Amino acid sequence: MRSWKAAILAIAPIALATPEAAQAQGSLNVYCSVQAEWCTLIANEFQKATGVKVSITQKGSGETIAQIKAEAANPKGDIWFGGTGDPHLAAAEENLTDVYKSPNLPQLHAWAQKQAADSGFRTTGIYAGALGFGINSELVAKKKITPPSCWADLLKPDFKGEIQMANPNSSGTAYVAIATLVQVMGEDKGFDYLKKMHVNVNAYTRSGTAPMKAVARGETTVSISFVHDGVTEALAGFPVKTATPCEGTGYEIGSISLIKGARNLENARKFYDWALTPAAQRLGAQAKQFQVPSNKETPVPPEAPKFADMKLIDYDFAKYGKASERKRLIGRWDTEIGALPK
Amino acid sequence: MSRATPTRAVAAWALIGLAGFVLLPWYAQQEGVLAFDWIGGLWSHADSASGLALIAAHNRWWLAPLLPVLLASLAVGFVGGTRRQRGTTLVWLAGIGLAIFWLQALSIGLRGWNAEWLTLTLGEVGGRQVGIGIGATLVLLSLLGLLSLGLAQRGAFGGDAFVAGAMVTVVASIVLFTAWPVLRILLQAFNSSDGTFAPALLLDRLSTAKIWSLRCLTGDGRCGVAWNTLFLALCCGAGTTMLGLAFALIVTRTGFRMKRTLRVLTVLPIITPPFVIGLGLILVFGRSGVVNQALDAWFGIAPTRWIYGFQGVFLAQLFAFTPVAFLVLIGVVEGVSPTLEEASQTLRADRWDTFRTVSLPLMKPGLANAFLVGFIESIADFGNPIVLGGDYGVLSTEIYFAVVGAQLDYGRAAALALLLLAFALGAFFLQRRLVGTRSYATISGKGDSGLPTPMPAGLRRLAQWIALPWAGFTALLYGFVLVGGFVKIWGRDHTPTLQHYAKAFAVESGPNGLIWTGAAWGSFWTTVKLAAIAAPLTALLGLLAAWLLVRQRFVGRSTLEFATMLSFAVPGTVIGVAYVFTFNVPPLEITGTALILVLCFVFRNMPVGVRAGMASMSQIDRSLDEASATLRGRAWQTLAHVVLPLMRPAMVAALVYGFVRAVTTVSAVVFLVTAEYELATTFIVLRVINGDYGLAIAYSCALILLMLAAILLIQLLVGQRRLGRRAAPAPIAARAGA
Amino acid sequence: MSAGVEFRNVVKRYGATTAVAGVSFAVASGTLTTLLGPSGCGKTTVLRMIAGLEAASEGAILIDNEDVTALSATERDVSMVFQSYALFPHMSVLDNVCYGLRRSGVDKTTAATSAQEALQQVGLDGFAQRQPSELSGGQQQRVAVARALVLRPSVMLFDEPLSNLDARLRRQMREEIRELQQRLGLTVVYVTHDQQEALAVSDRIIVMNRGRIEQDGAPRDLYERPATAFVANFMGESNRLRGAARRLDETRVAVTLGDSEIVVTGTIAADGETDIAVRPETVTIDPAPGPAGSLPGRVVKATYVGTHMEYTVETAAGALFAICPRVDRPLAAGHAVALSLAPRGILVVGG
Repeated sequence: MRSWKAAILAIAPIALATPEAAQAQGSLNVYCSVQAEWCTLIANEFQKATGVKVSITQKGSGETIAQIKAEAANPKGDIWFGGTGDPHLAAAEENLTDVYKSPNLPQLHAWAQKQAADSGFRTTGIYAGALGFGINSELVAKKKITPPSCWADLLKPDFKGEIQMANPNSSGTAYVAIATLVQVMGEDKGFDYLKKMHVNVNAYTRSGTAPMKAVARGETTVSISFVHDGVTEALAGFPVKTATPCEGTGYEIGSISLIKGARNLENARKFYDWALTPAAQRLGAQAKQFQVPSNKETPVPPEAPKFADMKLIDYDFAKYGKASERKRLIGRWDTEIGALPK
Repeated sequence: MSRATPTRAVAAWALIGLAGFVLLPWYAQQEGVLAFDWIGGLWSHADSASGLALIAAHNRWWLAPLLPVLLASLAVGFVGGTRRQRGTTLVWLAGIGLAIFWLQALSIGLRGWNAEWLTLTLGEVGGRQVGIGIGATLVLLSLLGLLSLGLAQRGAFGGDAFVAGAMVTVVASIVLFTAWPVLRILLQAFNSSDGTFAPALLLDRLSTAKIWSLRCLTGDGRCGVAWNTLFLALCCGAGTTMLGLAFALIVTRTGFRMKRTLRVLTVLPIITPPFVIGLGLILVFGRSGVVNQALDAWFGIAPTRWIYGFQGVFLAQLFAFTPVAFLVLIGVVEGVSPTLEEASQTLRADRWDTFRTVSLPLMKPGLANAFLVGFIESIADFGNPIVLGGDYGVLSTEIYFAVVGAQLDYGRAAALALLLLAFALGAFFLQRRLVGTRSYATISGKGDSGLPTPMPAGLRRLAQWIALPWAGFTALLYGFVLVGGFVKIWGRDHTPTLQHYAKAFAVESGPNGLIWTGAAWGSFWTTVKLAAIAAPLTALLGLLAAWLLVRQRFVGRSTLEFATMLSFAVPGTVIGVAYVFTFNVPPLEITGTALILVLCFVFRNMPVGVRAGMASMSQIDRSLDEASATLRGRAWQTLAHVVLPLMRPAMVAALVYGFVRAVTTVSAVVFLVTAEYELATTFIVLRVINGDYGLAIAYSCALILLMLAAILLIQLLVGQRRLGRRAAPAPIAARAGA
Repeated sequence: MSAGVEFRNVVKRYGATTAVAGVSFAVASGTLTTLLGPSGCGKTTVLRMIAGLEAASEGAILIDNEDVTALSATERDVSMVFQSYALFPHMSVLDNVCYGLRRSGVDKTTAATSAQEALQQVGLDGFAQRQPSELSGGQQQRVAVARALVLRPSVMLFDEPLSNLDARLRRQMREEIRELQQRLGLTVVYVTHDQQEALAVSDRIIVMNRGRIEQDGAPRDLYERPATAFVANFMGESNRLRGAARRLDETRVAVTLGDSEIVVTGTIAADGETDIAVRPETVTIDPAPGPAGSLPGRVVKATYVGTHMEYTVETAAGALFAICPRVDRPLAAGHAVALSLAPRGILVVGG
């Protein structure tokens, strides 16, 4: 038994280690699905503004919803900040998040208010990013190809083996792309388009952000990605240009949700309200992230792709955010495109 | 011969349990037990009350039966009766106590009864339970201790209380921290998404074309992930075995001079954090990588994307897992008795015949073992397929995205994990069937005066032609990676800079001493601390389990052996989710603590310790144990004074692996890290996702240095095995990999 | 007489096979008792059960009249010398010998003093700081003995202690062990498959076969009056013949071999054909065919082995193996001879 006792003695101090005594204002556990610097910034700023002690756990949105689901019996997080809207909507549908109507809701752009209403006020948009093309400017110049500006351009033989997009089975980005095409062209035509584009696609990657990284490093010429990710790569020094398709394009709404069963409900609401204010939304640009903030008053960073310059469709989050519809479309993609030979 | 009598031990364990029951808070304390803020409420406040107070003052009637059990056990310590009778009584008492403990802990949770039918049949329970605290833990330990004593006194395990205790410890901890969570998550494969039991769903989940399609063979479609996984694993197993054999032959059978360098090169990939090899390969072979650019510039060959897909993953896995095969095979090649080869040569066989008809067949079990290791490493690999797979899907990535992807389907993930487990087990049993567990490798203390036969010339050249370019390649790759940490943008802007290291590891001197301002320090120290705690526990538990498996005869031996291997063959993502699932709710509510990370490390890496221990233990003559026993050495003394000192190589292997794997593991801990306990790998992965490769690489290099230092330290601390005879070559990690 | 070790109907089963099938015996204190038998007869299992390394499936084991059946090896007051010596390779000779004392809680200096004394007793003073690997086989053997001896156990066990030594050393070591045992009055249980070794060292021999005791007695009794054919055969060489036997009285039997009838000591159940063993060294070969009562035969094989001649002689009663101390005038194959058999060399071993 000796070894056992030794083991216990060895672990006990950590197991029993006390977290620092919470301050008078209490604490808050934030699951953060935006980029690391941004997460740190909001934690620090909120703490400064309110005195609430913030613990930030940063994970991708897919991982975060998986975590919230796994913890559902005894939630450990209070609020979920950022990340593509789809998993937020999925969480709402699975009853993992709570209804909350922030008093700041009226200050938001129409698209954000609509998404909140569509979800039964279980999630609210904090920023939006349009779907478009990432383009490696060096490669197009070298190959002397005209950069694509419309969905139709991607069918040109110039782009044979030069396009990368993600696999909708694993990536929310790819699903937004498919749903967008279905909304722009109609379902059958949309799938027809995807089938034709298939010959030009060199890979359907597992991760949604991989195609843009491939563009940045010259591994592929064109990607179907969120355009603000391209801005980040360009600022990091890579030859990346972005474009949004002329036929119209969809967008993601980065959202915030209140986790059901939150232990620090009051502080979570406080954070929710704060996240919708211009003061909080400015921090994205400070962390070099260039989505469009949802509060009308938040200054849009100059580098951000301007929504005004794009042809945005009226993306139906209520319909295409539903699990059943998603399952159906992904299933159709699987049989009609995913199974095609390369 | 004065020894603590067994009855005194019984009383001691019973008193520990009673102390936990009466003097300490039963449930977990919000601020931790060391805050001692519970002392005032030990009786009065339900959250911090002791077990006794909970029964008497807070209506927790379900805890009441535990008190008589403990008191009765204490009484057993003082009454007479034969040893055997006492033992039987104790086994019964402890068994009943444990049953009551778990029954109440599992059926009454955060919201009263955990199952609806209990509420319906028994009515509201009138109370809720959070996770168990120090009091309940002591009661649990006390019951397990009493069970061990009871078993020993009944004459089980040679009547030795230590052996019984070790057995109870190993079995209880494996049941708690491996079998329970893993089975729990695998059962999800039979559940529909709303949680109802529907076994037919498993067939549905497993019978889709996405898994089993063979259409890539006919050219009109893609093959299923199952075939992809199998094909990749077979290639990886064969490739790593071949390369490993070539290296092993060169190191042991030729006069090659740079053996030391070669050894270092082969250790490097083992201590490389995930993703680094994949990223390095992209930089070298990617479409914009140096090779393609050079081909384009010099010969006008258009750059291609061949690195993405099967070829790339295969190459990366060869890099990553050849070292393991090498370490397995070097022991095997060294183990082939030179005398046998000499015998062959005196029987008119030339060198080539000797190699073909004697050496190679003797190595066969070792080769099969190396193949198995390569195969299993490949199917469990996640980092390389995710970086280089392109759209070549394999089970591990499919499982990951079933959990975190757009579908959020635990059932599918569990079903696929079952499939993966089936592959691993299939390979394991097939190997046992084909070559058996026997090993012809003949390392014994009896000096073997023969000289290893030099390899036939043709074979030597072949081995050199395969292995040396590969070694050069590895060196090149790591050169690239190293450079990556010192340039502005890896693969783009190669201006030398120290900014990545500064960002990660800056230290400033403040008024009160040093301030660790670098971004990586937090996760770095957490990683070092947790890995340093986990490694000895991993080794200890692994070697203890190995000792029981090899040296003790008991019913259920093979079941226990299988259970220790279980966590090895389950993908990390599944383990991670399983841990959150199981340990986020009472009675063992430990998510968010460092404890769960340590436990995850220990039980995920323990199989390596078990394997290393078993291999090494079976080389130690059993009569040494028996000699110690007849010389009054109790089992634990035998273990401490005789067995462990002779097992130093296995100990080093288990400690090194325990540490290295704790530092490099990623998929299992993604769901377990918190703001407070962030780990190096998760930090690196987030940087990679952000495209901040410079920082990721700089951090990875620091980790490689850390692990090298740790390995040296471990070797220094554990020391060499002193046999005083012709040193039996110690194929350290060979055993470990096996 | 106090019993150092006593077995009462002890059975040992491994799954379906029975290694020891109901064995009872008692070993007197201060004596050396040998368990003798072919490999697989259960003798080592018996020894290991005394040590506590194997648990008895049935029956009771007593050491110094105390029931130790349920005690583990550690708790029994016995020590053992292993066939492989089982010296701890990572400890010096001194540490090896100290090991048991240290485990029993003896302090370091006392243990070292006792250990030195034990080493002296086995003639190894001066070797304390050596590693076991630096010693010869015989020296390792002595360390193993010293290591067991130093604990002053009630019973010392030897498991084929000499099987790894060469012939000359074996003889020397067995004498040393016997001398040590008698000098210190040790109770020893000794396992061997070598009957000569057993005869040389033992106060008493227990012959085992297939998990049972075949015969239990003093060395001379066993050699000269084997109870069964198995014992006769196992204890030294013997010719197996069939012959007519006739009971004369309580202790004497008349045996007819060829033409001659010889009266020997022994008992048979009934008159008739029976198994007879003839010790080769009690056969006298007469080169001239002759005297009455002798058995005529013809030499078919003659072998010179230095100290004596070995002959195989074909007779009417069957082929006989005989040893002749006279080497100066060897007989060639084909030579007709007359054999006379000494009564003490003829053993009636039953039908």
